[in-house]
Order: sequence, then structure tokens, then C-alpha cells
Amino acid sequence: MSTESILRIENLRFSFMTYAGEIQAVRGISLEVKAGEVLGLVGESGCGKSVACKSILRLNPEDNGVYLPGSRILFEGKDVLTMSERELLRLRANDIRMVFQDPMTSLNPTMKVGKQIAEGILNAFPKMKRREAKELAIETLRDTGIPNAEKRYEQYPHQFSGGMRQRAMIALALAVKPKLLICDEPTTALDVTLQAQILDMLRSLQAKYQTAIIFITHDLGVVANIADHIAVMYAGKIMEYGNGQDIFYDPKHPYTWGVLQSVPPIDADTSVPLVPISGSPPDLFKPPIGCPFTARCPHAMEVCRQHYPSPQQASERHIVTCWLYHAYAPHVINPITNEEAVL
Amino acid sequence: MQSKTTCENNTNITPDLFTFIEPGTMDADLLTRPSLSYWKDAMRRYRKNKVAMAATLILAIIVLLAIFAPILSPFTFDENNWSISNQGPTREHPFGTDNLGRDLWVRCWEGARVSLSIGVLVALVNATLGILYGGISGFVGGRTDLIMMRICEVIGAVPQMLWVTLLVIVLKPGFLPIILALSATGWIGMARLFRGQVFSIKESEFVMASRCLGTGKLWIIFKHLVPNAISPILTSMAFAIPGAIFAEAFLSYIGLGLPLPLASWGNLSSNGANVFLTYPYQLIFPSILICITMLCFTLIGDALRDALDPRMRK
Amino acid sequence: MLKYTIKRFLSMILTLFMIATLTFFLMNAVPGDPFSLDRDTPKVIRDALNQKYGLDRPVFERYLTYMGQLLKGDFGMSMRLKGQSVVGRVTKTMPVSAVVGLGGVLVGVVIGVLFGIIAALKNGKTFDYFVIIAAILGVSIPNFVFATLFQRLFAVDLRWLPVAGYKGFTYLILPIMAAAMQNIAFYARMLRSSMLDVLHQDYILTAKSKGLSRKSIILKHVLRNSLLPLVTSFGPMLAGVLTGNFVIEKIYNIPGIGQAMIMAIQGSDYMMIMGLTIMFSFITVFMYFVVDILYGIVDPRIRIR
Repeated sequence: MSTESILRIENLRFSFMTYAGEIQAVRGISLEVKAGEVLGLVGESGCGKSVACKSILRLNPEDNGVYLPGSRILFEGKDVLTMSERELLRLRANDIRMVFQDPMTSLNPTMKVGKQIAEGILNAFPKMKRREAKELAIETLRDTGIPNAEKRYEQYPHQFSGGMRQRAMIALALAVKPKLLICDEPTTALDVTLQAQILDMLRSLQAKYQTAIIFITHDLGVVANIADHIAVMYAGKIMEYGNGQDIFYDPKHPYTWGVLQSVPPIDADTSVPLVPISGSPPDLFKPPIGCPFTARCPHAMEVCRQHYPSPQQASERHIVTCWLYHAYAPHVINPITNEEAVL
Repeated sequence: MQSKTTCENNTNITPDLFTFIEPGTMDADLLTRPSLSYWKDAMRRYRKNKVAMAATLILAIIVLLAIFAPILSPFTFDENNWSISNQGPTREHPFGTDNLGRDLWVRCWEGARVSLSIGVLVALVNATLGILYGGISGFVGGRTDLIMMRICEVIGAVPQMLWVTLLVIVLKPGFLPIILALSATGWIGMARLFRGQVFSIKESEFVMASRCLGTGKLWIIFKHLVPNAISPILTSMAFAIPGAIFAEAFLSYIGLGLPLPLASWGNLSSNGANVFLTYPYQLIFPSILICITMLCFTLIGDALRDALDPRMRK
Repeated sequence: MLKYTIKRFLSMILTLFMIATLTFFLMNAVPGDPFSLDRDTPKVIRDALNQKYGLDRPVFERYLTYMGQLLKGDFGMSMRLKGQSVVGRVTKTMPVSAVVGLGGVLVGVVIGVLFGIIAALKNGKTFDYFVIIAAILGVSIPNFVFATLFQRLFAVDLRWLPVAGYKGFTYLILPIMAAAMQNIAFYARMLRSSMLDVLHQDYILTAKSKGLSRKSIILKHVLRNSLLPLVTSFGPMLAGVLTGNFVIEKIYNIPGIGQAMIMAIQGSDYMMIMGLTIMFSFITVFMYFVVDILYGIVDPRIRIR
């Protein structure tokens, strides 16, 4: 694995301009993905993770949404947000692909599945012959674990089961061997056993094709398995970023603590009450000026309400944005490590 | 591992800010909007639709004129006066006179009474019959439902106007026969609609949830079924009224309209059409009234449909 | 697919049978006999005519006779027009009505679909609003208003086209236009909403994410799925085509099937009325059947079960 970073997001901000006002969906995100790496993007519904990732391909509606100035998305050095139409289409066709959440509705019901895959291939490689594209499509279908790939190629989406449809979607995306694959909650609509299978399949394909992956989910457990790095998102901002070891064994942000604590271990005592994070996420019409987690944070301080913390580095690639790590902050205990909370 | 760092950029970060906030002093879950009942919300959305409100207003004016214009006028709708026949619009006769010297202003508004009543009555009868038939069919289900729907299919296979024509021939043209004829086939659409609603609600999850909680069947019907199922019916009714008005006009054109001297927009337009090339005003006025009325109902129907759609709650 | 077709076909036969029965009994519910409505026809002649037309037989016998005749394709003879069979009358008048009807549908579909698509693509802009308004007007204004309007404007005032009658194709232009208006409105509205619907579907996002150009997406994915609901509307549309547009034929004095019906009604020609009604219904039902099959061909979800 090379240490080249292929994607750099810098201060991405995106808002929807509606009748009722401006909805600030993404409020300043910076991320980095290196070639062949898997980044897990975790957060609750509505925190902006989906919008952030669609921004990478500029798939957000641009007639009522706007990328605020200062946002940069650099793919291999080129800024996606200022690319020409032609460069953007090329980017989508060959370099970055996306898999969406709902396999039921993400495929055209009146077009054969194989044709939809081949369409993507031919669009990426215009010089390829029809037959070669078809063979490549069938081979990719096989790679994603679909039996009888030749037969399936000629079938329609409604003839596929849910799990198979999602595999087909993944095949569609990976057939062109993109440098980056973005998966937007690909297993949320499927049941747990399917989820495990899909994750396994993704892992092996990732190793085989050396594709970098951004995996969006609201379930920390899912990314534990597959991600090299994890970014925890809340209310349009990134709260903490680190690798699997950091996030699960030495998390620094109170939100991460809350998320980890709210998942009962499999052997939990059923008489002990669940520990949810109280309250609900802030309204993105008028987001708070300070740290968005203040209202629900057990360690909230006055400074959190008034100012937004700047990111602190705990190690080379472990970053946390929280006032608890400021010199003036009082001492608190990290509930996961049961030690004093320090960087 | 470093212990803590300072924040360089912010000069107004002072140590006293680092005091904990008492839990509960933050205004947490601010309700973004008060929750309204279904009907209130629908009404609010309807009222926001300016076009629909304008249409409702115009319709109200037409209804008022229909009621009061014939009363306030010195002429009656069947007053023949050969000396002033076929005159264009004048101050005394704003809509002119027809071939028997009758005042067309009065006749138009009498016609409004007739046509609007036909429209509303037909819509009501259709809705009632439709709800009963569709409700029974949907609720009972099974064989009964199959047979009942089959009957609908057969009757519905023939173009509606054909049935209506036949029925009016059999019953001889008149106010009641026309209503009967138009109702005889109009209910089919409503029945199908209502039955569909009943089905989807019967199986729907919130009814299951309700039954889990132990509520009785009757309660289910009133609290859940009616509000949800009624909305498409109401919208349908709004569209049914102009349909009936148009159908009545159609019957007049093929000679099965209301017998003279009764006035309806239908027979006024068809008579006007006969002399259109010489006395255009005799067709223009009733036609404009028909068009405006139909337009208003269409706009209201559209607005109702949008307002009553629970998925559009914003 | 074959099973589906056979099922539908049998269904159609059953429906036709029931319609014929219903119509027959309905017509026979008319009080009195057709000949008593004329100027005082002497009873003797009335009886002779009744006997000639078999009207003195009991209802059920007549029913069976009639059904038998229907099966052989004989819809009876007119009671007013001497020697004119119902079938003959239909074959004479149907072609003109079909031309007007088909013309109305074709013009309506082509223009309506075009406007609808463009409106959807330019959603929210001026053209879109213009189409919405025009569509609402078109649907709300009865077709006889358009018919008379066109007659006044284009035939009388501007003298571009003939006023009425049928002496050549130019005589059909105005009737076709009048018949098309409601269709244009209907299809424009339908295509616009269908297309807007499709444009917001998830699979369009997938297509975009593949790097397909906007033009490509519209041509290959959007259009086909937007046009699907069009096919279901064809049934009632086509049936309307052939059964003639009564009012338009009356206004423009076109010797079509609608006019034949009106004449039959005004002349109390019950045999003709019944025959025409049943024929209209048969055509409608048959059209629905054809459309059902077409729909099965076009939408793979139905075909492959």
C-alpha cells in the first residue's frame, strides 16, 4: 500500500437553500484518504455524512444547494468542485464510483441488470467492444458472489433478491476498477447475515482491486471490521478521526464515548438499563455556534457553548475536536479507558 | 502522549469559560413546530394555495348569483316576449335575449341553479354509493369482493356516456332522470377508489398496531379508516362535479337535455350553438360560465388533493 | 405471457356477453314500442311492424334470438332507415369518425407528450408554468367550446378552413383540432408529472454516478420509464377514437358514427341504438384487451412472472 493520498477534502461546507431558509448540511469537514485505504464515516441519521460523500462526486442538487466558498475536494490534486463538466463525467465514470443505500430502487426496473453494468463499463472505456464489456460485467458479477452470472446478466432487477441486488450494484461500481469506491450505508437495508456476507465480499474485492473505500454507516460495529481509519461525524462536523485501535480502545471525544457506551455488549446483564445519549441532534436550520454536541454532552462547559473547538492532534493520525483537551480544561475521566482524559 | 495543548488562534478564550454547565439548563429539544391534527394541517395548506383560494372565491360568487340573481331580477326565466327576441346585450338584458324573447341573464342563473345542483347531487350520490359498495367489498373481501368487482368491470367497460344516454332514453329526459342516469355509472370510480383504500388500510401496519393495543374494530374504523380513506373521495368529488356538468351539457347537445322551457347550462349552450354564427352571445355567456365553473372545480380539486396528502406535511 | 393473454381473452369474452345482455334488457325496458311514438300510426300497421321485427314475442325468446344473431355477427336491421343493417351503417360511418378520432389522439399525444417532456425538463421556469396553465385550461374547457370557437375563428372570421360538412380532408382539420385539445392537455400533464417523478428516482442518481451525460440519462433511462404510464391510458383513449366524438360531429356536421347514434336516438330507432351501443362496447373492451397485452410486452415486471 502506497502512502499516496488520493483524496483530500478541505473545509467542505454545503448548504441547501430552501423556501424556509438555509439548511447547513455539512459545516466544515476535512478528510484524507490514501490509496487502497478504507475509511469508515460514522454518524447518526441527518449528520451530513451522505451529503458530504455525494459532494465528492458533485451529486448533490446544485439548483437549490451550494458549496460554500473555501470548500475544496482534491482528487489526485484536482479540485472536483471547480472541474469542467467533461472532467467531472470522466471522474465519475472511471475514478470514483458510488454504491447507494437502497438496492430496491437504485436500479432501473425496465432495463436488464447486465446492460446497466455494461453501460457503465462502456462509458468508462469507450474503445471497448460490446462483447468485452459484457464479459467483464459477467466476471465482476461472479466476483461479487452471484452464482450463475451469465444467466443473471440477462435478468431484470425484480428477479434479484435484495442481497443480490446490492451485490449487483457493487459489481456495477467495481467493474471499472475505480480508484475510490464510496459505499453509502450499503448494508443498512439488508438483514444481519447478508450484512456480514457483503462486508466479507467487499474486503476481499478491496484487496484484489486495491480500491480505496469510504464506507458510510451509522453502526460503529460494521466499520470495526473493515475500516483502516474511522471518522466520527455529528451535525455536519467531524468530532473525532483515528484508526480502529484509536477509536475503539482510546477514543477521546465524548460523543464517541456515548456511542460506544450505548451499544450493549452481547453478554450484558439485562437488568442494567441501556445507556443512550439523551436528547436529539440540533436543528440544522440554525445550528449552534459552538460545539454542536454541547446540549447532550455530560462534560459540557461554557466555552463549548460559545466557541467551536479547533482540532487537536493526539497522534499523527488521531485528531479530536473537543475543548476537554485545552490547557484550561478541567480533568475528566475517559469512561472507555478509565483513565484521565488527555491527548 | 502530550497532555494538553493551547488554542493559538482564539484570544478571547479565558480560563473562566471552562466551567461545567448544569445539565438541564440548555434548551434541548426545542419543538420546531406545534403538531397539528390532520384536518387542521390540511386546511392550513389549502388556505396557503392562493390559486385555490381565488377559485373558491369565484365559485362562491357564482353560487350566490345563482341563488339571488333570478330573485332580484324583474324577469322570469320563462317569460316570453316576442317583440324583443334575439337581442344582443343591453342594460336591461345584460346577457341579451333568446329567440322567444326570454331574458338570458335570468336564464343563465336559473341554469346555474340547475347545473350546479345536478353536479353536486350526482357527486354526493356517487360518493355515497361508492363508499357503501367499495366499503363492503373491501371490508368483506374474498369471494364477495371478487364478484362485486367483476360487476364493476362489466359495467365500467362500456363508455359511461353510452350508459347515460341509454338510461335517459329509457327514463325520458328530465331533472331526476338525468341525475339517476349520471349516478348509475358514476359510483364505480368511487367504489374502486374506496375499496383500494379499505384494502390498504386493513393491512396497514398502524391498524395492526392499533389492534395489538386492543382497540375494538369500530374504533379502528372511525379513527383510522375514515380520515385516510375519505381524502381521495373528497378530491374525486371535486372533480366529479364538473364532470357531471359537462355530461349534462353533452346530453343537451345530442337532444336528451332538459326540456324547454327549463334552463340549464347544457341546453342553453346547445341552443346557443345552433345559432352561434348569427347570435354568438347566446352561446358565449353560458359557455363562459361553464368554463369558469369547471376551471374553478379543477383547481380546487388539485389543491384538495395536495392538501389532503399526508405525506406532504412540511 | 401466453397464460396471461389467454386469461385476458377469456375475461374479455365474458365481459362482452354480459354487456350484450345488459344492453338488451335495458333497451327492452323502454315503455311502449317504437312505432307508437310516431304520428298516429293505425294499430293494424303497428301490429304488422311489431310482428315483422319480432317485437310481439316474449322477452326471453327475443333475447335468445338476438344473442344468436350476435354470435353470427348480425346486429339487426334499422327500424327507420329502410333496408339498412346496423353493421352496414357502422361500416359506412365508422371510417370518418375513426379519422377524426385518431387524428385527435395522434395530434394530442404528439404535442402533449412533447410539451410535457419539455416542461418537466425546464421545471420551475416560465415554459413550465405556461404548460401547467394551458393544461388546466384544456382539461376544464369542454370540447364543444373549442369546437365552436375554432369554427368561428378559423372558418367564419379568417376563412382559412371550411365551416362544416365533409367533402374532403380539409373539412376534418378543425374537428381534429377540437378533438385534440383535451388530449393535448391530458398528455402534457401526465408526461410532465411522470417525468418529474422519474427524475427523482434513485436509479437516476445511480446513472449520474456512472458518469453518464445528462442527455444520455434522459434518452436511455428517463424517457422510457416516463412513457410507461402512457400505455395504460391508451385503452380508454383508443376506444374513444372509434366510438366517435358525438358533439364535434354534430357541430361540424360530419357524417360519422356519432351522428348515426344521434339520429338513431332522435328517431327512436331502438334496434340501431342497441346495435350501436353493443358495438361501441365491444370495441372498447377489445381495445382494453389489446392495451393489456401491449402493457405486458412493454413492462417486463408483468411479463416475467
